Amino acid sequence: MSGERVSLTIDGRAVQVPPGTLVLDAARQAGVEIPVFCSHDQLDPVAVCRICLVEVEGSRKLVPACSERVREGMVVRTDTPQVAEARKSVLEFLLINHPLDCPVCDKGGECDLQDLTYQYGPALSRLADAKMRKPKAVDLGPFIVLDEERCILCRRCTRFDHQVAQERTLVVGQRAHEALITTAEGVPYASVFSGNTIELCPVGALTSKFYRFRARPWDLVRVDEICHGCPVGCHIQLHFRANVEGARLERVVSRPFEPIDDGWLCDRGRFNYGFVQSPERIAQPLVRPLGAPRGTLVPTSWEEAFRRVVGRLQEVLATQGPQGVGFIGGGRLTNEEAYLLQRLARQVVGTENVDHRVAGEAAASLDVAPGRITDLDRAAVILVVGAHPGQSAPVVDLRIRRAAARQGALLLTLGPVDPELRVPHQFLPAAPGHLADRLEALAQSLAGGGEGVPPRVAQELHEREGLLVALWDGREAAAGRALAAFLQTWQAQGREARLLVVGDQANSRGAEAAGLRPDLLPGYRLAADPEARRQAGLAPEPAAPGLSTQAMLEHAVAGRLGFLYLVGANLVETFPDRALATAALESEAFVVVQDLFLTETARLADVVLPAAPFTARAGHLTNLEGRVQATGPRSTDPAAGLPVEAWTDGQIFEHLGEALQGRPLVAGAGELATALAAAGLGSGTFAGALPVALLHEASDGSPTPSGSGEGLVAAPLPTIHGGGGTSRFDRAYGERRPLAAVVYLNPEDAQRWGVVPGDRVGLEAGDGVVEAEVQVTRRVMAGVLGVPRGVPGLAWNRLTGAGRVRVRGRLLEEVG
Amino acid sequence: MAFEPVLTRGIGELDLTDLKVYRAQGGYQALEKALRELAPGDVVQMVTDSGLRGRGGAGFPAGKKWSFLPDDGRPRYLVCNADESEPGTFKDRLLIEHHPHQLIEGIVLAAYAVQAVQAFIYLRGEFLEGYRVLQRALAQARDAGYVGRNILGSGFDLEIVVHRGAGAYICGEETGLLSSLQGGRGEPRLKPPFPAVAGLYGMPTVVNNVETLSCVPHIVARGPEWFRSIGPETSPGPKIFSVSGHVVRPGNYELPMGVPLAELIFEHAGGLRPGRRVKAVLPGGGSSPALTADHLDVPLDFDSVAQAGSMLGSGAVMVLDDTTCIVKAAYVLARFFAAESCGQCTPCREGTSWVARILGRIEAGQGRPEDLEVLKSLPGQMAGRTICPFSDASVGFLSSTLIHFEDEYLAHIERGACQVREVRSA
Ligand SMILES: Cc1cc2nc3c(=O)[nH]c(=O)nc-3n(C[C@H](O)[C@H](O)[C@H](O)COP(=O)(O)O)c2cc1C
Ligand code: SF4
Ligand code: SF4
Ligand code: SF4
Ligand code: FES
Repeated sequence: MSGERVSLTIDGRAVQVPPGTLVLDAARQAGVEIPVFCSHDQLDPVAVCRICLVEVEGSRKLVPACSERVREGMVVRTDTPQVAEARKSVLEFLLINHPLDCPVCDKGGECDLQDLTYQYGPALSRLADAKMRKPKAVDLGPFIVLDEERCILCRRCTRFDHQVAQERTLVVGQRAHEALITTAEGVPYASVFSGNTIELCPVGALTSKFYRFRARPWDLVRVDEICHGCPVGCHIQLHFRANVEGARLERVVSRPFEPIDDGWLCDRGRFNYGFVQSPERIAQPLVRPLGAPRGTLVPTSWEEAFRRVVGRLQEVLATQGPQGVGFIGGGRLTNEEAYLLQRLARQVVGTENVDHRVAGEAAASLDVAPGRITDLDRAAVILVVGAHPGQSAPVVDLRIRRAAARQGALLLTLGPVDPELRVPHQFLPAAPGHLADRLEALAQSLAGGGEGVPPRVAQELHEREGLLVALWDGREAAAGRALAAFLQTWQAQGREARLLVVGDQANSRGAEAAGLRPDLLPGYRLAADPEARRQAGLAPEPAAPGLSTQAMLEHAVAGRLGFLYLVGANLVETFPDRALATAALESEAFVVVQDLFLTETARLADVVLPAAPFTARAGHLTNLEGRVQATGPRSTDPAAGLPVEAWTDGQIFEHLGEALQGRPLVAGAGELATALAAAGLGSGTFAGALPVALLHEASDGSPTPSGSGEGLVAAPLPTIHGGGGTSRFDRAYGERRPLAAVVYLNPEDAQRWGVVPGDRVGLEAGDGVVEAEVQVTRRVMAGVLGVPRGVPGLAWNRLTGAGRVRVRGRLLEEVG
Repeated sequence: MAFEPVLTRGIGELDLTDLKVYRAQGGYQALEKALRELAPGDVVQMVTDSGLRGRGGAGFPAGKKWSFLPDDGRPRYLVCNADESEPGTFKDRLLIEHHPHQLIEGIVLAAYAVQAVQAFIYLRGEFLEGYRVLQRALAQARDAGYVGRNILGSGFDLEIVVHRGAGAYICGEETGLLSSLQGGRGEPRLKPPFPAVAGLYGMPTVVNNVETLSCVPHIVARGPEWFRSIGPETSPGPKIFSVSGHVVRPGNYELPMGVPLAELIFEHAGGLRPGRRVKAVLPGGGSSPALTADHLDVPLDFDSVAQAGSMLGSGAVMVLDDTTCIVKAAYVLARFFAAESCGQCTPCREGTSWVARILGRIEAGQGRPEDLEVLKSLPGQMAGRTICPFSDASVGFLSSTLIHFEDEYLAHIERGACQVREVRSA
């Protein structure tokens, strides 16, 4: 089919295109522009707006170019008076009831209706009657306001919601000239992809609550960026507006990049940007005055803060040696910064205690059948292990939805809680700590055995030819090993397999590749490998084997680690064992926290260093498929207008390095780039991946309650709008994001514990009690309590760190 | 040879809703014959040879439609279009309420011919009585083995489900109907693919009108030649005309296709009231352009009416005498279309309401000279530019009367009042 071509002429220009091409696209190729409203290359044609009508020889009527496919010998004309009249006519129709509030419309200046009217439309209105009135400023959902009068009913928004998101919330209501955009049953449009409709809308009908009336498009300075919201790494553009106080980030829009995002963003990526200019940003370095209790922090100068950090570090080195120092974090840094941090720890301080893993995950990649996001497009089977793609890799979830709903892929999910996938799939329940068992059974089923695998699933897995793509959340080392074995079995049967690992943070994979693990040097070289160490300029033998995050925390509690340096790591909120994280921070150890906000963790520090947001730095990020992408150029710290003295993370490391060793951490940008290239992190390349042999429980911070006994096992659930930092301190976003302190129970357990949906219950774990509202759903397997992560007011990691959880009746009754 | 009613024979005299009565009249014999003696393809051939053209409005040859179904192993559906909502049309209602077994027999025959696995009757929501009658008749037919599993021992299975619409005219358009039947909005979609290729649930589907399907038992029973012997060569068969408006005896008249308009009005429908003259006739319901007194000799068949500049459509003949205000008539129709457009296509959604607003203003005596200019241009801006023919239909009467009765529009605009009042009082 690749060679086949159809020849046609458009306005006299000959073009050859593949069969099935739309006339519209053929025209584009011929250099003939045809106006469109409803047509969009990611949506099925509906041909409702009628602006694209063209003449086709032999056809009595004008034909919509957006839905008509090319035919051999077709003769298309777009430059005739009839076509011009038709365009003008459609514009006239669209304008008769249009409010024409261009002067106050957000879309003014980038509105297709404005532009096309200017180009093709009538100059005067022939309407002598009153315009139709429709509702204005309709509150459509958490982030969107709809102006029904401006809507031209092109249905891009509803088609996006149906065809791409595979949800069916946005609908057309009423009919004829009273038709309008609304939601089914009037529910809020709370899809995590809602913001895409704003960009799809060719007019100013769908507007962002954050951007509304904030700027005119021609006043905006545009900076290309990579989204820092999660490890998908969607391409975005930041729109700044300069005003008297300085530059303000006014909105985030997509910058379509087919291999990753197809032009879509999730609402986290699109709307969680206000934090960069939050008045709650830490404005100055803070220190705990000598003798003051933890929690007391007073502002100080950078100089003084550095003096304290360096002084204490040297003391600890003198008393405990390098093993007494630990660095945690890095998943939010650029590759460059992660490398610098690694270098600071290993070369300058001489410790192997570095770990980017702050949430109990085992890995951010795995060196088995490395996959690409686009592999999902041709998948025959998609196996989701532990992951909740809609929450932690949202834009990838759109591809999963498409593959399952429109390309017939078999979709299987395996874990304690069935992710909300919106498309038909089969859930294979697997208790926390036992994902490996289920995966082993699944692997056996490929060979005909497989206890507990539903026969229908086994049969399907047996019959499906072609590619299997697995998506793993990197939790439970044993699950990773079992998954690797499963994929190898699949491959041994002559079928293709691919694996994607969803890291916990936006640059977990880059941090891992840059050597922010106790067992790895940059470039996935083993920290125990003397040759690799020699090349990295390190002693052939580490003074002591490096500690994982969990081990560092334990050592701090035990008094064996006297200096803990946390980078963008809110462990109190993200580490699965809150008690341990808190104990470590409250220990005798000297704690340095580098962050944008005074998080629960930063509050307990001895020194807090204010870090600048991503807009203030340049570098690279590595997304979940290993793609090394340049972030935007160093643009601006929008807090410049605020009295904030923040440094980028990289600047802080460089300064510390120089202060400690008397010379720069790296000789210059050239050396840094060379080092990163050597680590497999050259710009535009794909990073390596973690050897399966490094998946060992010792580095796996996810505690699994052992033994049976009464009670539920808590399973943490990622939540797109949740999080420990940027989302919580983003006032506007924080107020609107739909997040509730709700835990999830299987109906059986709800009955056993005597609770009904909506009850507020006390959840006992260890010697703590957590309060939450209960929702009952079959998505959670029996015996498991689903606990969302990163929801204010719900300390999820009190429940995951302390054995089984008991439900203590309805709280109101007990308290009341 | 005098024409004998076929489809309506016995209505008004016998209770044909009763299975026994229907059978006594020879009912279900065609089905028995077909299942015993004819292969499915034979039935398709008979209907093709009969020259039967669709009675729902478009006049598409039924046999040809049936033979379009791709033979690719996918399940096929048959859908009976009983949404009858065209202004002026009330023939299907008659057949449903008074002759349900004839329709059921036609559906089973058609389903057998195209080997459908399931049939649906999409019934206009307001036809509550028709719904009850159909359900009763279906129960009887099921009990008697004409519907359901292994019909008459032939091994052919067919269930018929009656689905009531929710009151939208546009659900009569076949793709809008199918969307509605599937639970979607009643909105037409782009064709191709035609329902024959991708219809209900994406499967090959035949959609036929009630009257079309009601013809089928007779074609099978009496043969295609008999059918062809009635009416003109290219539009043969009996046809029910729903006559309404300013005639003495409005009602349904079953006559041969091609009956002259004058004969229908004056011989069958009792003519006009004393002293009145024909001013305009809509030969095919509210969607059809008006004919005038000059067209009274036009034979009422698909091709002749088209040649006269209008369309036979569903055969709903609406007669307007000289007391009719054309502007008001246009306004009444325009309001209907402005309310019933599904609202997808820009020209239709915006155009229908604009036309209605202008006509409303002119009718109310607030017209402006420029209005006529706009009114004349709108039909061209709306017709032939949308997904379905609704938009064209919505301006059919308007554009024809702007030609034949421009003076009336002008008079309204210039004098701010209606000329016809003078006729009325004369
Ligand atoms: C706006 C519109 C309304 C229609 N309404 C009806 C209707 O009420 N009943 C009907 O049988 N056909 C109606 N049709 C025609 C159907 O689309 C379709 O052509 C017909 O059901 C096919 O059956 P037939 O071939 O037996 O006529 C309508 C078409 C249009 C464009
Ligand atoms: S709201 Fe915008 S995208 Fe949606 S139908 Fe209206 S104009 Fe189109
Ligand atoms: S999916 Fe991830 S990278 Fe993409 S927009 Fe959302 S948060 Fe950003
Ligand atoms: S022409 Fe009118 S009724 Fe037909 S699809 Fe378009 S908007 Fe709907
Ligand atoms: S762009 Fe073709 S009809 Fe809308």
